[in-house]
Amino acid sequence: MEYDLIIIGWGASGFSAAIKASEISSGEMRIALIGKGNMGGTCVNVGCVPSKFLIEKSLRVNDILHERNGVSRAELFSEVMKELRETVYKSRIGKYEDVIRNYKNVDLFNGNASFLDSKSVKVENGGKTQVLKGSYIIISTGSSPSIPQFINPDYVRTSENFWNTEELPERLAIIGGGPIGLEIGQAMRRFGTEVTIFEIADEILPGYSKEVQSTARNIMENDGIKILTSTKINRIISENSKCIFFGNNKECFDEILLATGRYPNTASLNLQAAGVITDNNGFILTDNKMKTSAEGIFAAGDCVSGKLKLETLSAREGVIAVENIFGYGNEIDFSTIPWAIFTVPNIAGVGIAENEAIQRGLIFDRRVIDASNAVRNSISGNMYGFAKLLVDRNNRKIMGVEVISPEAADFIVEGVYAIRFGLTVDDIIDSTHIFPSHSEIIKIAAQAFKRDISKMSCCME
Amino acid sequence: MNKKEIKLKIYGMSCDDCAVTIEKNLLTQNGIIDAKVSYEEKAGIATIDADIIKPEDILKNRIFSSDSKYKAIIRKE
Ligand SMILES: Cc1cc2nc3c(=O)[nH]c(=O)nc-3n(C[C@H](O)[C@H](O)[C@H](O)COP(=O)(O)OP(=O)(O)OC[C@H]3O[C@@H](n4cnc5c(N)ncnc54)[C@H](O)[C@@H]3O)c2cc1C
Repeated sequence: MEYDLIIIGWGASGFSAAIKASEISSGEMRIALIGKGNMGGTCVNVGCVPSKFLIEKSLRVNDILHERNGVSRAELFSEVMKELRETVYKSRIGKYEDVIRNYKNVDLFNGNASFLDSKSVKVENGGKTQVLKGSYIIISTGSSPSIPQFINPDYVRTSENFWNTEELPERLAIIGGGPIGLEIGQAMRRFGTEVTIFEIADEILPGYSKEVQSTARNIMENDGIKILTSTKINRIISENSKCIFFGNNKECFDEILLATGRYPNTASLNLQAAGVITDNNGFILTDNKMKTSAEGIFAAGDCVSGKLKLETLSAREGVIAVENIFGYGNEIDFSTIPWAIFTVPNIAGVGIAENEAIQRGLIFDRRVIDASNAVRNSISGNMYGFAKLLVDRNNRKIMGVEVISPEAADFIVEGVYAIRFGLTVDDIIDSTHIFPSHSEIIKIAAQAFKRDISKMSCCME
Repeated sequence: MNKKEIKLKIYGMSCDDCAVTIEKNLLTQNGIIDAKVSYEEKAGIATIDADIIKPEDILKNRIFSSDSKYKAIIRKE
């Protein structure tokens, strides 16, 4: 079977590519969309949707327990998890399965795809094999949670199957203090679970700024989460409960969630046959147009080598890949891709990180202001957070924004616009923000470049 | 002259006139020596002087610009 475009992987990046290519071609491009497992991939099935659902519900635990006198935390948790699975199912049907069936130019193939050469892909399902040929191919096979070899997968859960949990664990160990570990850990803590986070690095959120690391730790610990950093797990065994051996210690839990990073789904693709080059960890190397080393083959999403692994970035990369198949010449601009960790308060950022700016020898100024400078935080009782702005010393343009604040995931887009449209510190100051709002923290951080904010009235424009 | 035939897949055509319009526009582009477009096959062949333009430059022709309903890809075989 011959296609104009073959897309391997039906997650966020594959879907956005299929839909964009259909739109650009007035629904005429012949597209093969290949996938395995649940349609929609990570985000809808085991990523963004279930994790944000759990977080959202966990924020209301105390209210619900109060409203529904007599219901226990354990009962509530089981109900929430059932509702979570229903929401995932409905989202998958409504946002993926039903949507793609409306695109008559897209043929769906369910099976494991691998390359025969740079223009042909084999799809295997059970004993059945089909060979597809394509003018262009987009690889969007995503990533999966890594499980270190010394850990028996039966003893732990990962973000792939945590959502099947039915009983509220009294004690939960989370191995890995990255965004997924913190988000789930904090949500579970609100249900009353005793949560311990094990992190091998000397701080949680390795790779993030020092301010983010230390504030996040304070937030977690204030919530009653135990954090063990610089802690290497030696062994996990399953007796009556699941026990973790570290140093000379042993601690036992009802559940262990492994959140130690992700590996790309590229090993079974036979990329050598197509001439597609990866980095040492198997992530596909592309240029900013999402082109791989092989002519006519593009890649998008989590399987691509790069720091950020996000639904939004994946979808954007899928679009850029397609646009370049049509010769648009567009490039992905990483400097305007925001990220967020949905802890309470949220942690979010966009643009260049301070350590990277230093490494690149950029000349910049910085201001970091504490969340207490925004009146809204004292009204809402939020004790933790800050805003950090990095500004180009030559022209005062915003280069990077980092915020820990309630609603930061919603207002970080202010930083996206600022960087995308080259706004300066003065442009931010001259834009009136709502008082008292959480987003005001960005404006106050901008004002800190001009005056001593400790002596500033809250009404100062 | 370094003549090369570039096969195109062309989308958005609704009649033979569309094919003619696309051909005409392609022929105005510096470096395109000949152009044949078929509505039925949703395809075309552009003969280019590869010393003057690259195959991808054909896709920058204004007939395929973002506000045009016609779009094309280069067929890779
Ligand atoms: C717990 C968690 C929470 C997250 N929360 C957020 C969030 O709040 N916001 C956010 O922006 N991002 C979030 N993410 C990240 C986001 O989910 C991913 O970045 C995004 O889903 C990646 O999309 P993708 O299309 O690259 O890959 P995927 O969605 O993983 O899709 C890849 C698809 O390819 C299929 N596939 C793989 N190999 C083959 C093969 N050989 N043949 C055929 N098919 C194949 C897979 O089965 C899968 O269906 C979260 C991730 C996790 C795990």
